[in-house]
Amino acid sequence: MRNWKPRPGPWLTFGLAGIALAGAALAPGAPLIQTASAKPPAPMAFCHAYPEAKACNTGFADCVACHTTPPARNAFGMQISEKLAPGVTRPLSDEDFLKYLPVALKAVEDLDADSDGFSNIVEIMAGTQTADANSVPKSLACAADDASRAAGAQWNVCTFDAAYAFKKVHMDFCGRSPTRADMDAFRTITDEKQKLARISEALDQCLDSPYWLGPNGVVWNIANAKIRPAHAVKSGANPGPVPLGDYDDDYNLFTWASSDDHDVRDLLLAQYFVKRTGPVTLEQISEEELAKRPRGTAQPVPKDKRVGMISTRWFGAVNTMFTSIPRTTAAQAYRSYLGFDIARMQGLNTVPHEPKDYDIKGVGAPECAVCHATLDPLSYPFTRYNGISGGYSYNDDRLKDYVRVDGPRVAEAPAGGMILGEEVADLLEWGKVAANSDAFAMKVTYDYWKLLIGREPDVNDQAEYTRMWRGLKSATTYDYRVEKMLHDLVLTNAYGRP
Amino acid sequence: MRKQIISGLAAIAALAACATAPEPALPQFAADVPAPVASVDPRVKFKDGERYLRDLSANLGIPREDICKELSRYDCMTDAFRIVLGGVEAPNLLVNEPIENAALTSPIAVDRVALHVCSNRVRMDREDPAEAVLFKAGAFGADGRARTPDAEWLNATADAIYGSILMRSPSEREIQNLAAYYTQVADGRAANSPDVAADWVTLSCFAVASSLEAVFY
Amino acid sequence: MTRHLSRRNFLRTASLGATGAFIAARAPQDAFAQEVMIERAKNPRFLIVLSSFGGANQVDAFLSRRESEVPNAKTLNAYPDDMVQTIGEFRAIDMKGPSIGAIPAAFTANQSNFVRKHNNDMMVVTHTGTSVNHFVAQQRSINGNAAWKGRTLQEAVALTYGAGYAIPNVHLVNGTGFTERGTDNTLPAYVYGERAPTPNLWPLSLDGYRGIAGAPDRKLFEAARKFRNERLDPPPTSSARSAAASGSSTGPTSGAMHCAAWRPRISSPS
Repeated sequence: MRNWKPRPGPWLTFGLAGIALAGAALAPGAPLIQTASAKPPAPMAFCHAYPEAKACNTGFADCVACHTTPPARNAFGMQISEKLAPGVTRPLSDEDFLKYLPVALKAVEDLDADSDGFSNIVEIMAGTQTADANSVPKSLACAADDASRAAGAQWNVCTFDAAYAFKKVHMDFCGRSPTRADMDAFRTITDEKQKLARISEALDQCLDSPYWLGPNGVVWNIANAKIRPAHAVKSGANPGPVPLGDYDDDYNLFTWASSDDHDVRDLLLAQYFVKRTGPVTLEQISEEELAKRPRGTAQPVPKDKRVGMISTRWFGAVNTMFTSIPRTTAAQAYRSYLGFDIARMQGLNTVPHEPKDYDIKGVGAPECAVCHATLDPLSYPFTRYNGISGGYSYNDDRLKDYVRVDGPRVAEAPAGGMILGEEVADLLEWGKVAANSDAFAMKVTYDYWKLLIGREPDVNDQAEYTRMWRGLKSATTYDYRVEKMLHDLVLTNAYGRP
Repeated sequence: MRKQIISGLAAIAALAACATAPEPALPQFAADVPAPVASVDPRVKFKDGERYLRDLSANLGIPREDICKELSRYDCMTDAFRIVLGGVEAPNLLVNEPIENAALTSPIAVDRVALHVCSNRVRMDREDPAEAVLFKAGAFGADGRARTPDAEWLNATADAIYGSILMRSPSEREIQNLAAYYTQVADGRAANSPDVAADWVTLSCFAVASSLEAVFY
Repeated sequence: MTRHLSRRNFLRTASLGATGAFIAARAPQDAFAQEVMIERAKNPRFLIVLSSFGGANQVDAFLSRRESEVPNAKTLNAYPDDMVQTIGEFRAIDMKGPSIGAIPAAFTANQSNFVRKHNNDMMVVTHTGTSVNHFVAQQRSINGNAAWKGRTLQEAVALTYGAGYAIPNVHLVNGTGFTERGTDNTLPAYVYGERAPTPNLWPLSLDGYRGIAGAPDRKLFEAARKFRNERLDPPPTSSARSAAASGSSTGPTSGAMHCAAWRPRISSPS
């Protein structure tokens, strides 16, 4: 789960946008009272229109892009509202809203909602607040005399500093500083290309280090929030008091898919498991060896039903547990691998006529359906995969075992569902759609970006961040190889400018 | 530079003769160094306890498993201060990511680690002078009589401290700072006491090892 | 005394131990408000939050129901009458079993001893809430779903009674929503929870010197800190701070790096 830290920026925006809003309301002809209703699909729709905007680094925009306190709109939201489906009866249905929003966004691109001299489209792409005059795009270039002074200093803060990047690569990937001899030798290199080659060499060595690849190493720890280990219920090596499943399988698969020449989409596509043969060496486990495992560490889901990290025994044990319709499981998968946290109303993609509430949990109530119209169809493909009850296995008829507890309709829940607006027949297709989505590439890139750069992609990072995640998707660039992406990431200004 | 070191040492010698003296002030330097350019996109990252200790271990020649133990038993990072020094421990403590904001005790823990490491190193140097890394006997004459450390020894020790911990040579100003700091450490004790010299090395090591440059990158 | 205490000198100030000194540094300048805070600090309330999760339910302990009291006893969480003990205002159940529902783990629970010992100092706070997300549900249980500007129960108590204490809010448990920081950023810094993930060793981190074998005299150690702070890590000048804030590229820095707030990074192996 991404840390939920309050961000002063949006709160400041609330205050200032509130003033802007009041100002707009007092303008001749402006309505004093707004009528509006919540549109949870709006953040994702915004990012369909502007996938490379800074606000869309995570795949969905924040509500503050258009609102003060939703549904009240800020000045930018007001401009959109005036262009949105003029003449169509309010309130708009979700379908109409999504249909007309792109046109409305286009219509206001050249306007300047906060009158700060930067048009809305410039601010959207730069990542500054369109409704906050104090939030303006900034240049990171040094003044000429500063640039020449910086060039003679210990670290050149005005540009990519190769020596700085060389040192950082050692710290980030090897877990130690370069030796003094290495650092002194690096500083004697005068040719820029040679410097970059030396950095790349160092990175190659460090990517095979125990610090990076080993148990409890960097890559391992990236997976913590996705796997959510709990030693108390671990089976296998070093078991806990109540052994339910061995999360080492999950960590090994995660490390495998995130290293070497492996396709990171295997996080959601792999139909194999991986074992550790040394501090930094991993290999796939044969089905014969897997079949011989004792009951406590068996992986009962058959090979042709496996879906990478989201169908493992451990994933079912801690997320599905005893549930018929495993919404928590689907939400955890959505959050971990696509970056959408439904508990915080992210990634909502309302499916018409949902939720059907097959298990009679009351999720059809309007205040619940806001999220469950996305979450429930997202969860249906998980309903054939058992958690603790049912022994972590796959069973097409699993839901019949829940009729006594959840009512007869629970057995009608389909195996197919919806993810990111696409219908899927089962969890395998769910995995494929997810793995090939922009959101997946963004999330993978985001995890490494935040780790290595030290913060979320910022206003000035847009071009480089976008290049990374698009490159991850491209067969001619990184082709879903994390290590290839990292080789370029360490040469970005975001990484190497002190 | 030589004139400044000598005048600094003259101050040390004069003050060593004082039985009780007020805390000696450190020399003020003229603003002769131009201000560096500020970063337009400042970001630094904390080394976290494990990387911090690995660097100190590699550069001070103390095995990682021995370099810092609280109560002589608990590894400073793995056991004692893992989370407040930026580590994670997911299976038992449920800490999946490093803490977002520094804990109140984080800088204190850094100071403890630095003091542990430097005290260790100087103790080892005194026990086995042939393998000394920081505290090298050279200040004391071959006839065994202690004498006030001279400029050469102070320079070399400052270089050893900066070289080991920050992996670079100290600037002139930094050397002057450390040399002048000797008078504070002497603090009314005889400047030619090996204990004073050892304390100066320990505390200089501590100050450099817990400085921002050592702890962040 | 400065009103904004940096972390580095915070505990040095704490060692003064004077409630009035603390409060003077923390409270608004209004004399009456300071007086109120001093009085409260003299007679503090200590809130100890016990949290349970993962299927455990404290309602089943201290507020457990007897089958005879509940119409749908077979469906709801009710217990045989003779299992439920009444101790003071609360209830307690002692039981043991071979499994926890479908989880094959034997257990023994003895609540009566605890309740007997502490019932005069106990408060059981119930709330109505729901979330299938454990973390969110835990957070809501201590912040009332942001009922009071997003403050947690612990933060509210620390704010009311804790001005006279160095660290009025301490979390011995980590990684749960019960100990997550609230969302009210207007609170003074001392109110937010301080993490003590390894409670038995945590006290060591309250003092930078004590217990370190072979270290020079403490007075010298404190002087070394001062030397480091003033000579090796000089704070940025006010011009540098304002230059940095405005994005200007001039002004002195410490090694050309600003360190306003450090954030430890993921990537620490065990």
